[in-house]
Amino acid sequence: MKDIISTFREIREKNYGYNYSHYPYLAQWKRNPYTFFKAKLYLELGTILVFLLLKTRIKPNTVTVAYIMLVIAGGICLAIPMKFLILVGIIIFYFVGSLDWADGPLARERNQTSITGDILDPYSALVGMTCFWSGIGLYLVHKSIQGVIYISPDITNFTSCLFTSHNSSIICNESYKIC
Amino acid sequence: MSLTRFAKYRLYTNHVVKELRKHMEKEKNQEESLLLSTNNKKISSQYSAAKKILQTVNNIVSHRARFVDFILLLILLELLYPMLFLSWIVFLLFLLWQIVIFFSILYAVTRNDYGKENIKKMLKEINQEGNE
Repeated sequence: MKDIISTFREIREKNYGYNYSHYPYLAQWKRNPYTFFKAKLYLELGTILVFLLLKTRIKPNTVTVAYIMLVIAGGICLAIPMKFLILVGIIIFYFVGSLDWADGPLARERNQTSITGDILDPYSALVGMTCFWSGIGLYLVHKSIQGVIYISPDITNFTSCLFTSHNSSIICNESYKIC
Repeated sequence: MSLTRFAKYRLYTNHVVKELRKHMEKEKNQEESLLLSTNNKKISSQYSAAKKILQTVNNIVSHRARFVDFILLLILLELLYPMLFLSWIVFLLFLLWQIVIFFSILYAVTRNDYGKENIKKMLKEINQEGNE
């Protein structure tokens, strides 16, 4: 048990040390409070992932590919107009970065750093952004259709009231109230 | 963008653009020191103010995690209150900002063969440094 804790601590310290030395702004919580919080979250989740992945045969590049698959799934979830799936998409996009923060430390721990990994890492970020904005675009399309449906009863009632007689306009007004 | 093209681009940036960046930083430092050394404080203050404004706008409206999280928060709010249409506004602002960036870069690159001249100049200097 002690060994497990010590290895976990070692990985955590290495992970923190590497990221804080390369990106010092991550440690400045007064200047970037949200970035500080998010980096902490990703670092902790990334450390747990690295610790678990070290016990398997999964390669760092496989983690990157998993990240790409997840962001594609997230984009699709955001694009489908179902509340549950949109919620799943939000959760995916919020936590998926921890996978991106885990592949590097895993490669360094196993001495498996490669040019392929160096290429795949920014490519995954690019795919992630593309999927996110595509998903958001389609979400907004559905949202605007929803908006038209919300407004349309008002519009139809208003136009029908304009082109009908006084009595029917009273009926229209009544139906408008119901709407 | 295909993966092979991206890989080529990435390798190119890794091995060549590092040098270009060094060169650009040198030029930038010279430019800033020149502006700061001038007696005209108005120009230097205007320059720094414009730089600050651009930096803050770029920090807020960017591809970075905090902006993505902000949009996700808006979507979450819209799920709770369906009559809200906040994400539309943010999306349009983002789109406008990207259009502004695109056209400003287009203007900077196309004006008086800016791109060609700069690349020629930089490659010349890199070759000179390599020979040394």
